[in-house]
Amino acid sequence: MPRFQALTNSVLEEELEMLRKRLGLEQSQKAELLREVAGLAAWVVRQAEQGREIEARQGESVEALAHPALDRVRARRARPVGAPLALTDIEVEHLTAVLDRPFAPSSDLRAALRSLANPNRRPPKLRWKKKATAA
Amino acid sequence: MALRIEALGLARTFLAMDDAPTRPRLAGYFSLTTVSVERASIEQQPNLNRLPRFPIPGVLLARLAVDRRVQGQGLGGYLFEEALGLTLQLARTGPVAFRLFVTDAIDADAAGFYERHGLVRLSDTYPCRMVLDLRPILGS
Repeated sequence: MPRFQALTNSVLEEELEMLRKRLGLEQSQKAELLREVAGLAAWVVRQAEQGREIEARQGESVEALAHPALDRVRARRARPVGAPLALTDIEVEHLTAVLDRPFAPSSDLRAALRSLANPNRRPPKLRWKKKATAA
Repeated sequence: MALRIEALGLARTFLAMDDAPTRPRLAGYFSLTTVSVERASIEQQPNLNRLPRFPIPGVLLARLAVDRRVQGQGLGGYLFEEALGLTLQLARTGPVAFRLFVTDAIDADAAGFYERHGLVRLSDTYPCRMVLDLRPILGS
């Protein structure tokens, strides 16, 4: 374990040193370095928390940011199936408004209900595109 | 294309298979499960006294996805209809009552899709909780 820790620390030191140089900071500016790194990481985590994919793009090339920490953030945000759905007071107020309002279905909902009542309803015929494209 | 049902733990998942003779392929799927909508806070608040009794029973559209290679051809709308149709059928003829059709939209695109289909956002952050009141539909 101590050996593992020592190796980890040395790798971490190297990473931080590399970042310090790239961010144009002096050796005496360790605290500033950590502040900047934490600021960048916080932005990434906020995006992941909002369900956004984080991608690096250059022309046609796209690289998605993948990291176990982001998987943990997304898993924490995802509600486990079957669990009770607890609403905040603001969500409860919105729900109350929904339950109070007169029925005025959108055109797509009307179409869906009409379609469901149609005995000849069929799924769409599908044409498969050759390559997946980014959504 | 055919819908097949797979039981996966607490949710029931419906698979949309493209039954091409050469190679059947999974084109999309959705999962349904029951949900109990509750208020997180137990504090009494005078302005919230007119709320319905909690918990409110609902059906949760836990997942709905379409393969990117067949997006834009109406499969998402078709799967949504299937999910809503099964929910209405259960609410009409099942042994227990359901008041809400609920989903969590993962992003703005998904929220827009559900909004067009009559669901209402309960929050501004993602995943965004969205609901459809089933009572007026069941009564119509």
